[in-house]
Amino acid sequence: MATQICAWSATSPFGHGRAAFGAGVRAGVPAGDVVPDFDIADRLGRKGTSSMDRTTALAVSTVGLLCKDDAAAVVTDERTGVVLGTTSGSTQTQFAFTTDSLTRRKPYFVNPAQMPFALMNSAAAQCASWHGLTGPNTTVAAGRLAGIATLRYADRLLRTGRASALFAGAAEECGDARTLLERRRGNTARLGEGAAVLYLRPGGGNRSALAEVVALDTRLAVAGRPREALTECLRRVLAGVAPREVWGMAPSGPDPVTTELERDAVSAALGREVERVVVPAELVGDTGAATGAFQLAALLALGEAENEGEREPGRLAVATAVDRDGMVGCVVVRLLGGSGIATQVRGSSR
Amino acid sequence: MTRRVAVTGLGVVSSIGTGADEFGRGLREGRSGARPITGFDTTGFAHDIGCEVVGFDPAAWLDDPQRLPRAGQFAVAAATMAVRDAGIDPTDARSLVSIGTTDGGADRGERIAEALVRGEEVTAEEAARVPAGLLSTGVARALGLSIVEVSTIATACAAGNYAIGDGYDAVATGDVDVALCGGADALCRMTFTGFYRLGAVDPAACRPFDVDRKGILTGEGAGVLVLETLDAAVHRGARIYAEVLGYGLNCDAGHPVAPDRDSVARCMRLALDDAGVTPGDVDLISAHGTGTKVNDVTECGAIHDVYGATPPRTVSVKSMLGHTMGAASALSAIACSLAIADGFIPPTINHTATDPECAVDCVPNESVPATLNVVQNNALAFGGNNAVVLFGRN
Repeated sequence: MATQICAWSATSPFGHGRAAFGAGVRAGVPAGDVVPDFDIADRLGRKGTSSMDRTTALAVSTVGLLCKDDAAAVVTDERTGVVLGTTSGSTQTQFAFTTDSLTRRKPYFVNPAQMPFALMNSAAAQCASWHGLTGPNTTVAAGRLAGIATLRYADRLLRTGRASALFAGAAEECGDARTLLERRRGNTARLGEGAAVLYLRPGGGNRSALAEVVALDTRLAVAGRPREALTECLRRVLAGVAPREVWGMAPSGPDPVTTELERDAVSAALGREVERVVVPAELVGDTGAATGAFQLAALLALGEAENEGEREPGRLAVATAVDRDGMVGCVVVRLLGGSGIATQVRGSSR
Repeated sequence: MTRRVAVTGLGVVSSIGTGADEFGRGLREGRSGARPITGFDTTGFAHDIGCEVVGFDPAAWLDDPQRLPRAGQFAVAAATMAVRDAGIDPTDARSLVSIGTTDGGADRGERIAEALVRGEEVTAEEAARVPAGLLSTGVARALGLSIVEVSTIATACAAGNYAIGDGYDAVATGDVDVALCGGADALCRMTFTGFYRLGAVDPAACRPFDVDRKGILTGEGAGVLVLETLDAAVHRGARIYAEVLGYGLNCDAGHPVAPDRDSVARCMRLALDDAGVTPGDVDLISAHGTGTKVNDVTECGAIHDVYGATPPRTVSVKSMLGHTMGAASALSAIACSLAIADGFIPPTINHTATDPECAVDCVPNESVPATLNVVQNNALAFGGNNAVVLFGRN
C-alpha cells in the first residue's frame, strides 16, 4: 500500500500554480531567478504578513494554490498535516534579526513579531495556521536531500495512520543572506527561489492518484564517494524493476558536475540511459531544499503531458539527490496518470 | 506495526552534568545549571543568566570538530555516549539518526551576520557550518553509519519529542533496527534576544508553576536515546530503561507564539490513545513547563482538562536545565527514562509557592522516590507544534 501523490502545485520563476510550472517544464526554456509578481501582502493580504519571511509566504501561497487548483482531489480533515523541508529556515530573517540586535541602541531593540519567522518551523506552522491544518506539522532540515527526507518522513506518518493526508514539500527564498552563504561555499550556480508542494494520501484509498511512491533510500557517502553510494541506493530501490520501465529521471544537481554524477549513477544501476531527463536547476535555478519537491513536480508535469498520448500509465520515474554534506538518496515513483479526483484507482500494476 | 520499542541507551550533554549517570545524579539533587552566559556578548542586556554547558571539549568526541556547529558537536557527544551506554555497534545495522533542533547552526549564522556588520570576511568553512542538517549527518559520520536514514527535525521547541516519535515509528514498523534520536541546541543570541524582547526571560532563575515566575532561562545541551525493539533488547540482555508506549502530534494552527489549551489537551489524548493507556494509568507528567506566565497556565489547564481535578505529579526539569530548545524534550525524555528505571521523581527547583492557576503538585525543590509505571513527556513549540510521548516501565 504505497503512499500516493494525489495533487501538486508549485510557485516558481515560471509563475504561480501547477499550470504555469507544467508549461514551463514542458517548454524547457529556463525561467528567471525570482517568482514574478510575488508581493507577500498582495498574495496573502496584510493581516499577519507584515513580518512574514519570503520562504514562509511562498509555502503558504503554494498550499493555497494546491487547494484551489485541485479542489476535487484535496480533502482535508483534522488529522491532515504538513511536512516541509528546509536548509536552515529563513536565513534572511535570522540575519536581519541579529543585525538589529547588534546595531541598534539597545541589543533588545528587535522586532518581536519577526521572531517566529526566524525559526525553521515557521513555514510549516504558518501553512497550518493559514489553511487550518491541525494534524502533524513537521519541518525536516536536510538541504538538497529535503525532498527525499520529507517524503520518507511523510510516508511513515501516513503508514502509521498518524496523518490522514499530508502537504509535503519545501520552499526556499533567494535573499542576500542565502546568496552569501552559497557563494562562500563555492556554489556558483544560478540561485532560484520557489516552493513546490505535493498532496499525499495513504495507499489503498479509493481515490485516483497521479503517482505512488514505490521505494526510496538514502546513504551517507562516508568515504566521500557520492557516486558509488548513490548507485548502491539506486540498485536497492530498483531491485526487481525492469530497466525499460524507468521512463524518466530528475537529478538534484545545481551544476553540470553533480548532475552528471547523478545521471551516471542511474545509468550504472539500470545498465542503460533513461529516456527523459529533466533538470529543475536548469529551469528555475538552484532552489536549495525545494529542489527535491521541484524534481518530483517536474516529473509529474512531464508525465501528465506525455500521458495524454498513447502511453500506458504505470511508468516509473526516479529522482536522485546529492547533498554537499555527504548524504545521497533516491526515490522511485510510479506515474499512474490519474486525474486526482475521486474515481476508481487505475493503472497500478502492484 | 506491532513491534514494541525499548529505550536501551542514553547520552547527555547538559548544564547539570554530562552522561546519563551524572545527569541522573543532578536530577536527584535538584542541581541548577544557571550561571552567567559566556557564549555570546550580553552587553546591554539588564540580566544575563542562562544554563550554559561549561567545560565541553568537542575534540574529545570528534576528529574535526570545526566542521560542525556547537549543537552538532553536542549531538555527536550525546549520540556516542548513548551508543556506548547501550553497548551496541550500530555500524552495520539499518539505522535512523533523528536529531531535533530549534536553532541548528544558527549560532554560526549569527557570527556570520556579526562579521558582516563589522565588514569582516566570511570564510567557506564558516558558511559550511550553518546548515541544520549537519546535526544528524554529523552523528552518522562520527559513528561511521552508512546505510542510514538521517533526519534533523526542526520543529522548534518540541523537536526532541518529534524525533523520538519518528524513531519509535521507524523501529516499530521495522523500517530500521536501531534509532538514535533526541535533540540538540546551543545557546544563541537570537533566541535569548527574542525571548528577552518578549519579556519572557527570568532575570535569575527558572521557576515553573511558581507564583513569582518570570519566564525562561535559555539553555543548551543535547540528549540522545537509543531505541531498538523490545525483543532485540531482551534477546541480547540489554539494560532496558523504559519502553516507548506511544506518542501524539498535532498543531494548534492558530497563534504563532501563544499555546492553545484545547489543542494541547487534544495532543495529550492522542498520545494516551496511541499508547493504549488511560489518564488514570499515568504516574508522572514531565511538563513542557517553561516558566513563562502563559505557558504554565495554559499547559496546566490542558492537563486538568485531560486528567481532572487531581492530575498526576507534574514536574518541570527546565527549572534545573533552563529551556534547551530543541534538546528540551529529549533531555526531559531521558529524565523520564531515568525516573522510571531508578524509581524517583525529579523535582521542580526554585519553587516557593505554587500558582493557584497552575494547581499541580510540582514536587517542589527535592526529588522523591516513586515507583513509576507510566510517564508522560510534554513538548509545546512556537507555531503550535505539540508533541507528547509516553514512556512505560518494562
